[in-house]
This record gives sequence, C-alpha cells and structure tokens, in this order.
Amino acid sequence: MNGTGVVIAGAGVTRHGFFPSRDWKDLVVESAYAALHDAGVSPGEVSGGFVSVSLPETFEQQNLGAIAADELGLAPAAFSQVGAACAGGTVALMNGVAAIASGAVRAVLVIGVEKQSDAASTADSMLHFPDAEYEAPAGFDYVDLMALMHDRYVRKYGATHEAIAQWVVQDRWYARRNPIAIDYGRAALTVAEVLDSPMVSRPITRAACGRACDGASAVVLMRAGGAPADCEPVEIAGIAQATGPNVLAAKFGHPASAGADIAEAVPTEVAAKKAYAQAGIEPHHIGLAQVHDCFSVMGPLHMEGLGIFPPGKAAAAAADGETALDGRCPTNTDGGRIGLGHPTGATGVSIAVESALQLRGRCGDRQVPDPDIAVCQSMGGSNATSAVAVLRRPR
Amino acid sequence: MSGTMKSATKSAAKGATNGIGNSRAAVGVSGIGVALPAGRLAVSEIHEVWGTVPPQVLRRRGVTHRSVCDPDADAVTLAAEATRTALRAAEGPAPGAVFFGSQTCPYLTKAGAALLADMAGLPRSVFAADVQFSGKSGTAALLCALAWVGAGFADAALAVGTDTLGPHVAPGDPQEYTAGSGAVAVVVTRDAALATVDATGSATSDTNDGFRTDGERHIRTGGAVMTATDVGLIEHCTTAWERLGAMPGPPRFLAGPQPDAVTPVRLAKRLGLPAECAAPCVVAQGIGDVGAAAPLLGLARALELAAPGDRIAVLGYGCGAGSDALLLTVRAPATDTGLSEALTARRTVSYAAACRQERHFQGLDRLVGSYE
Amino acid sequence: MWSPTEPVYRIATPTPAKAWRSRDGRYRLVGNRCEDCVLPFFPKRRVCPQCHSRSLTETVLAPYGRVVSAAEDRTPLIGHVGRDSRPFAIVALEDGPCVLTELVDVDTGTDAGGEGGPTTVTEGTEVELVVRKWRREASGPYQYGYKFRPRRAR
Repeated sequence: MNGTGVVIAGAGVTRHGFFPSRDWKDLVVESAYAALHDAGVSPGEVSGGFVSVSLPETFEQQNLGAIAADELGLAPAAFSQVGAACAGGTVALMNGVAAIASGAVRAVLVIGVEKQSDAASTADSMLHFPDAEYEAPAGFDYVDLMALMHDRYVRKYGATHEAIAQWVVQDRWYARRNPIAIDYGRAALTVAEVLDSPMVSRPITRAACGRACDGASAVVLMRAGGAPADCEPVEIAGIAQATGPNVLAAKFGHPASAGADIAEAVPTEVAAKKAYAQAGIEPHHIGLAQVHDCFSVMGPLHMEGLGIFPPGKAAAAAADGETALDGRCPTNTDGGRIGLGHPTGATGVSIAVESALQLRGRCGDRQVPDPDIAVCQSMGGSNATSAVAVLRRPR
Repeated sequence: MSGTMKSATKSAAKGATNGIGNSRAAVGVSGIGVALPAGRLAVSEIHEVWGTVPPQVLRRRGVTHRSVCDPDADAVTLAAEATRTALRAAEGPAPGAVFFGSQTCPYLTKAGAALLADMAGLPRSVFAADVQFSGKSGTAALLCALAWVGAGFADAALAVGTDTLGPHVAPGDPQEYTAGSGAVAVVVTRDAALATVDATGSATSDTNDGFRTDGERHIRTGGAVMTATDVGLIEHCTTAWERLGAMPGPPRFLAGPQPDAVTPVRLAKRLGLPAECAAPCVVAQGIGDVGAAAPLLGLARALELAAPGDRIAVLGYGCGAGSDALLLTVRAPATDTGLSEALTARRTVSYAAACRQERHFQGLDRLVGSYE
Repeated sequence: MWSPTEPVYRIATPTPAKAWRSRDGRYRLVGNRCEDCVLPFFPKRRVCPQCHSRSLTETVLAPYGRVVSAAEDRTPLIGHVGRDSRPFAIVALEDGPCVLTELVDVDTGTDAGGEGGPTTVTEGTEVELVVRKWRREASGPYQYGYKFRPRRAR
C-alpha cells in the first residue's frame, strides 16, 4: 500500500493564547474559513466535517459537530464531534481521510478547537482523562503522571535532566519565530532557567509544562487530484492510531507492552509502524517531525516511539542539536506544546497545519530547508492513545 | 455495664464470681494494634501563640508535644490503620462484630463502624455499631465487644477507640495544648491469647464537664469547677474501680485515662495503688490526649511489658460523664502492637502547619490554576 | 446579598454511587486474576488482555510492595493540599500488579527534624498500605483509599 489518496487542500490556524473575549465558535469560524480560503474551496462544497475537542465541559456544550456546522453556515452537512483526549485532532483527521477515501464526500473540514482559558484550572479541567476511579480521585493530574514518566525515563535510560530541559529551550527557539505561538517574540530560554523555574511536580518544572491555551486549527481534505487546481495540496501518505492502557500503573507488565512500561511510548510505536507502512517509508526518511511534548520528557519519548532515535537516546540527540532547524530531523518547528501552546483538542490538527506549511515552504525564518516527508504525532491521555500521520510534499 | 464477666463454661464459673486470678475466663483480648499520626506539635509553640495556660501549669501536666492529625486522616482512617495491625497480630476467627468508639467520627449520620468493617474486609454478615461516649468510647466499645463474645453472639469482635481531638478543639482553648489524635483496635475472642478479662465495672452520671452539641465543631469544657474538682474523672473512675471487687493485691499495671501525663499516677494514688503501676503505661508525654484511644494505648503498653500471670487494670473516663474499669490477666505479652513504631515515627510540625493540617484556617474552596 | 441557601450551579455531578462501587479496590486492593492464564490485575479487569478470557476471580492483593518510580507533587489539586510535601510513586506490589499511589510518612524518623525535609524514598524502598482520605466527593461523602508508607510490618 502506498498512501491514502487523500490530500490536505487547505489549512488554517488561529493565534494561540488566552482570549477571554472570544468564544470557541469564534475560533472555529476563523480557522475553518482560513482553511477554505487557503484551499480555494467554497463553503457549499463541504459536505462533511469532524470537530475535535477534549474539554466540551468547559463549553458547557456537547454535540459540537452539529453546532459547528450550523455556525459555519454549512448545515445540513454531516458533522460530528470527535474525542480522543489530546490526540483527538489527529484522530479526527483520520476520520476525515476515511470519509474522503470512502467516496461518500468530496470535501471534508477537520477542525480542532479548545478554550482552556475558560477552565478554572487546567489540572482540574483535564482531570477527566486520568483514571476516574484510582488516579483522579487520589489527586493525580497530568503533570503528576508525566513526572513519574520523567523520573522513570531518567532512571531507566540514564537520560539527564539537562538534556530533557534542552527540549524546552528548543521549543522556545522555534516558538519565538512563529507568529501564532503563545511564546512568539519572547526571549530565548536557557537550560538553567528551565531547571530553576518553580517545581510543579518534581522533576517537572513550570517551564517544562505544555501551555494549555485557546486556539483552533482546521484543514480541508479532498481526494488527491480532486483539489482545486490553484491550491497547494499536501499528501497524507499514511495515518494510523493505536491505544494502550490508560491507568498509568497498568502499563507495567501489560501483555501488549512487551517489557516496556512508562518510559516508552508504546502506542506511538505501534501507530507509527502502521502509518509508515501505509506511506511506504522508513524512519530514516523523515526530515521533519511534530511530536506531542505536553511536558518536556514526552518529546524524547515520542521521538523514540516514532523510531527516529533509539530507545533512551532522543533527549541526548535533541540536546546535541539533531532536532534543531539545521539538524537531522527538525522537530516541533511550530514551538511544540510548550512554545506554541496546547489547545488540547486542536493540537492534533495544528501539527498537520504546521507540517503542511513547512512542506509548502511557507514558514519564514523557522522554515526547514526543503523538507520532503513530515511526520506528526499526537498523544491522548498518558500514552493511552497515540495517532501518527505521515505527510508528503506533492510529487 | 458492671459486675464480673460471666464465664460461658461451668468449670470457670467458680473463679468468675470475683474474677480475680482466673486464667480460664471465657473471653479476653487476642490482638491489639495502635495507630498515631506522625505529626508532633510542641506545647511551647501553642503557648507562644495563645499563652492561655501558664507555663508552670503546662510543665506540671508533663506533655511536651501533642500529635497532629494529618490532613488526610480522621478517626476512621486511624481506626483502619490500628485494625490492620490488630488483625495481623490476632489469630482465630474473623470478627463478627465491630464497635467503633469515637467522639470525633467524621460522619454524624452514617456509621464509622460500617466504614471500618469494609476497610478491614470483614464479611457482610458482621454486626456494627458506633459507640459515642467522649473519652471513654474506646473502653465502652471494648466492653460491648466483650459482652458480645461473652454472650456467644460471635466468636470474635473488634473494638476500636479512635479520636482526632486536634481538629475538634478551638484554637486558644486550654484543651488545645494536649489535643492529640490516635487509635487503638482490640480483637476480642474466647481464646483470649493475650489476656483474659476477669472483671469489669462502670459508673455513669449526667455531668456537664465537656460536650459538643449537634452542628458544633469544637468540644467545650464545663470550666474549672467541673474539670479541676473530683466530680468528673476521679469520682466516676473510683466508682467503676470499686465495682471490680476485692483484689489480693494491686495489679502490676494500671492503664488510666490520659488527658495529660500525670492524671494516671494521680488516679492510682487516689485508688490506693502505687505510682509504679500507672507510670509505665503513660504515653501522653509526647502525643497528648488521644481521647477514646488513651486508656487502650496504656493497655497496649502494659500488654507489651507484662509477663504471663500479671494483672492489668484499665480505667477509661469520658466527660459527660462516665467511667469503665476492666481487670485483665495476662496470658502472653503482646508483640507487634505498632505502639513503639507509632511513637518513634514522628515529624515536627509548626503551629501554623498544624492549623493548616487540622483545618483551623478557612481554606481556599475554589480551584486555582496549578499549571499553565 | 449572597445567602448560603442560594445554590451554586454545578454541572454533571456524579452521585455517591459512582465512587462507592470501587471502594473494595480503594480500601483493600481487591484486584482479580485470570482463571485461564493466571495473570493478576489491579484494578480489576473485565476481560483478560492477554487471553481474552472473561473468567476472572477476585483476589485481595497483599498490601506490600516496592517503589519503582517516584516524584513529588508541589502543586496539589484542591482537596489534596495541607501536607508539606506530597510524594507519590509507582509501587510494584508483592503480588505482581503496580499501583500509582501517594506516599505518606516518608519524612519521619526517630529524630526527624524540620518540615518538608527531603524524602527518603528511592527505587526499591519497601512500602505498606494505609487507608487515608483521598478527597471529599462532589456529592458530599468522603472518599477514602490506599496510600503507602515505608513498611513497618514484618
């Protein structure tokens, strides 16, 4: 198999940040119409869509597919809401690919949106994702779960806290060059600043946390060859999703983990192999990656899951510059979850938007030189699910 | 409840008429476990903040620190911890009855005993009841368990004395200097592997020396006229003691109520007993008054120190007011009560931290962002 | 003027039944074991992920284990504050499964001095179960559950 036969015809994204005066509907409309405009597709041509959101509770609203379709003026198009925690955007993309590939629809809008600033506390709003019986009520939010992963990764592989902190420094480097990033234009960070920032959950410091924020992203999907002649389509060469246990402790000794525990991104590895097979690529072909670094340690974990670096080696490789703009595989060129911001439901779409813009060569002073194949990955829960998409420059 | 324990067997009945020296009594203690929170607050720090009790009075009471309830602990969790230790030590049948003795159960409507039974993994068929009689809830629960097993209602019963006085005494109240927290669980069986209970006695009257009405958070005292005279503790304990009947000589140990570190010795003297029988059972010096658990803590200490054949008297007192007395004969010293570990595993807590832990500050009840 | 009888609106609050259902796991580590491939699980599973058997038998796991990975929560959620530090860990139970758990009484010792001292827990530290309050449920009751502390019992 080679490719999905589906292209991203257009992409749109809003500024990431805290916007108390903007509703989720404002963000959806801005990103979706930017994507339609980019594709050169008229609204009437869209006959389906998927809306990814992870915290509809903060909207005090569900059934967002129908509501978004009507807000966009697209009713009666077939829209539905997709949820897969922070991987929802990529899973929505996968649904969109399937819808196009089935031939049932000609153009699909895939939208991700989040209004984290409407939640009283990010840790609290995200508390529906850790296990509801044994983790959340015991007082463990995401940063706590990831702190254990960080600790385990360091213990198991001998990675250094300094190398992991370097990931944050790199995110800031890209983010200050990305006009939509929450950290756009901010000063460069140092490893010492990352390590010395207030401790949130030892060993994770505040600077090493993804920046939950508001934002929306959208892409228009069409059949390859069916997109408007004057748009710049980017091929979705492969896309796949995999799951694992959501209960953190259950990852130890789980039959599907094959000896791995919380220091490995098992679902990412499984999804990546499927997506690479569909795209007909090997990890060494990848020249650009977007990975789910909701906390600094998760960046290296997923780079290893994607097979770009061997187990336990990614933090050191990134610290050595292999993921920098002039490195072997520039990574999180939009600033990542820490520098761009992390509107959780939108993230899985925004990484596809960034990949598409990079493959088209539209990223200004953070543009990767001549990328050919980009991989983007998002994680939902504490490695409970992971989705991987392989994007290819039009040939 | 008063009088001697009735033996279930005819052969033991003769010895049970006065109870003394009968090593074949039908019922007694087969396991005992202790739980204390690790936090310790220096009495001198409370004095620095409030100064409501003169330093020489504090010194006289002999308590240097009080235990501080953890923010995630209450009378139920302390009871569960003590029960785990007691059941681990005790052999024999699972308890068929649970008596939860406390004046500070976290629930006013809902049985602490039922929570405890579930936490201890006891079968659904268990009988459970809360026993609420201020500082003597623990001995009252123990008497209930002894009666239950003695009557043949179950082969084994669990009695717990547990209290968290720190959260339930107002800052600045003279009681705050000694308001500790802790729990003791006692497994009662016919085998009575540790000690038999040979005689019991009680005394009760309506005495307003301490109380807490429905909906009130803090326990109040009846003032010096009630607490500093003999109408409460001394008179009730004396009456209960006398119900134990004549003894051939003083018991080796007297485990008394421990509102402070000197009352047990003072009580022993009033009962005509040597100070040496009370002093070894006093543990209040470093933990303060642990309410319903206090006399049972003394029992745990006595059971650890005792030799087979030794007699131990237990005297509980609760304001409101009443006293229970028990006379035990030791069959085997107790090991693994958890008492010494609970006394040594400690952490110094400042007055401000104690107020935070015991929720004397109006806490933030809203969510605040904990990471961006 | 605000009055305590004026309700504060709260969406989607579960009844006490929801947490009540899982109390045996929280109080006593009741897990289960696959009857076919004998793998032990905590929390209880409905299907064995290894052999897909749906025949699983409840089993109470021993309340002892060893620390595998440890961290310390410096920004506890509301309802979990009050301690000087809030260490937590993955604990590998003696009976096989691992649990995520808060650690208590780790900063104690015979002469433990100041508050919030460095935790002494490291990989391999033996721990035992204690039941503590987890939080107060949105619907009112206290929710109790396991925490672990350095092992005392032998």
